[in-house]
Amino acid sequence: MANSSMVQLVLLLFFSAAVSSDQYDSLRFHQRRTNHRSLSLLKEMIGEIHPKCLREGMDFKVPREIVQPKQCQKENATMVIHEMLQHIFLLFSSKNASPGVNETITETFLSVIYQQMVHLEMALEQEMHQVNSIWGSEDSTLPLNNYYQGIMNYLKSKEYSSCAWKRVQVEIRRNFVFLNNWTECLKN
Amino acid sequence: MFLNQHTLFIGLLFFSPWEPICFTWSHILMDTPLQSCILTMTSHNFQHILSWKLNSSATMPAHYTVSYTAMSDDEEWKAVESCTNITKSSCNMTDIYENSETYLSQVTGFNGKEKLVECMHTFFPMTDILDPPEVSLYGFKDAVNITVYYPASLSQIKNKEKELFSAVVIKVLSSNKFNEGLTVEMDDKENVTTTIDSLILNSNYCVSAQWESQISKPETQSPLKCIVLSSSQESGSEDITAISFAACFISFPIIILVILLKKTGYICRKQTHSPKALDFPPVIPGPLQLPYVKITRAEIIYKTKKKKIFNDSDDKSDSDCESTEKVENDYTMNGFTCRSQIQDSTLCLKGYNSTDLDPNELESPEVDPPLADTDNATSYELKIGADKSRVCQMWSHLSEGSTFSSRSEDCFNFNVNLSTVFMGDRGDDQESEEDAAQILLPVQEDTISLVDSEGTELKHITHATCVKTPLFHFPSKEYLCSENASSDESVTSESDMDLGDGYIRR
Repeated sequence: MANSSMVQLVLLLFFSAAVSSDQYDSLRFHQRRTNHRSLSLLKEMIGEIHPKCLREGMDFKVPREIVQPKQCQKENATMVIHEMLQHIFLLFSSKNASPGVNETITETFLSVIYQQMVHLEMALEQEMHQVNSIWGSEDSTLPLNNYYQGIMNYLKSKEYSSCAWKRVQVEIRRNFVFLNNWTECLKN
Repeated sequence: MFLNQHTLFIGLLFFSPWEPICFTWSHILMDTPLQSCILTMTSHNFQHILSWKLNSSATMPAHYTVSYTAMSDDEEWKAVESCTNITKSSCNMTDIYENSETYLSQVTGFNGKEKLVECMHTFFPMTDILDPPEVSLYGFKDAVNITVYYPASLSQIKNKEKELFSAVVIKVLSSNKFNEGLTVEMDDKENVTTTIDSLILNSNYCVSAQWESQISKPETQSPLKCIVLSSSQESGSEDITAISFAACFISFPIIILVILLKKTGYICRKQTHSPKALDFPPVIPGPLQLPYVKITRAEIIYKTKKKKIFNDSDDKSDSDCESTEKVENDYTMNGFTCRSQIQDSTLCLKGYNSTDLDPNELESPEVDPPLADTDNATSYELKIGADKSRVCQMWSHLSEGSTFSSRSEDCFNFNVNLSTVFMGDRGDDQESEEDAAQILLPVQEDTISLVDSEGTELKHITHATCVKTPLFHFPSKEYLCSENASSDESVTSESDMDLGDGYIRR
């Protein structure tokens, strides 16, 4: 009886690993496409920056863990990527977001992010069912929360001006460069 | 009234606020509008070059200064050290930026201290400044092999930029339609090949590639490369293969055959030279005239006279014969010299040494030159039809069944077997006419046997050798003009041959 349960557990882990391997490949593929399309859309939003906006300089203090991942594990990368996309989605879906920007571009941008978030959530749910991981703890996501909260405060202080939004769009474009590094962590 | 208006006008001139107006106007007059320019960031062999072009050519600045700043920096503009006060319209900015930063670059044109041109450009290195990859195509059957190369050596790429070249997006154009791009990862390799199959034959396919990180625009995409997939591509290659195999199968046996023929000597034979000793002169003077052969001349005078027994009592007045007697050694030689006047052919056998040749006796102009001496040779020549001095010179080579060859119309040569010729002294009168007739007519194909006085048949003369006897006797007054020799003795060149002698001796 015990032996049969052990065999079942081993088989479950084996097949789950096989499934997850293929899943991460698919996840990585979709994430690369999401990153590429997002960068293209952000370039259209930003366009040419007026020199007057240079006076609105702001250092948002991106966490070092986000800039260069230390633990490049697939499960950890999946969670970080999901968190970042979620904050970006909330940022660009608020009111008075991206003034002077074509709404079609903004809606397309939000659609691309949302689709990738769904893929990431499905992968996270499977990981949470297999192993009792610590991936869901808030400690690991605290620096990210503080970072994006600082961006929201900057916009509010600048009264959601166009130059402020230009700076935020530039900063989010940097985020997707960091996401490229995390996407490579999904590689087997 | 008029004075009040004039006074008011003067007061306004002094107290009206003209200065701000004048200051603003002067300010407007002093600040000239700055010219704008078009800034372009290009990349070639991983060198990022910022170039600019003025919109108008009103006043060309003397020199330019390039500066840059990052959006996240709070600092002021930073000047590019290699691009300060330059005259050219380009600046290399390869080493100054980071991939994640958004930069602003500013170009300022001066003419002395006066600023004439000022223009700015925003660029994001991650997506804006990369050369497109190089692409090569190879089509076979219904598939196409696409190979993507870096624009330059992989070692020239900085580590910070390698992430920009991590993947390539390949787009295939068919029927004027671009399909969805195919993403291929480079994996730090110099080139990557991918295959697109299940294509339609006899169709034109064009391929373009760009780095995945770059924004899709004409500058970032490689030039279109097209290929037509035809069904003859495979057969063509197969034909070439078949032709090459056929050529090998045909040429290989031919080469082997030629080698075998050459080795067996059937072709390209080496000419072997025969020894010089076997080289004969091109013109052989004739078998009768070997230079090393001693020639002994013999005269044969053929007479068709009636048979007449040789007798001393005979009246010799009917003929022009003259008898002589000579004693030499132990022999008594009796003979007579006759000269035939008849016109008939006369068989005369007469031999003499070539050295004793008497020119008076030879009226025939055809005298063969004497040949070299030889031990075994005796040459004879029979000549028929001479006039007065019918001298027959007979050259023969009596060695081993010699043959004669005719030298002229009037002469013929014949083999004389002297062993069959009757020989004897003049005392032998008992020979019958018949015998003599037989002997005397060797031309009638009777053999002439040499018989001495005792009737002993002499040795058959087969070759000319020197012999002292035997005497050669023609009882019918035939002249004996030949010389004989035994088979054992060599012929000497000093044989005594008398022209008028009826005997032959050596």
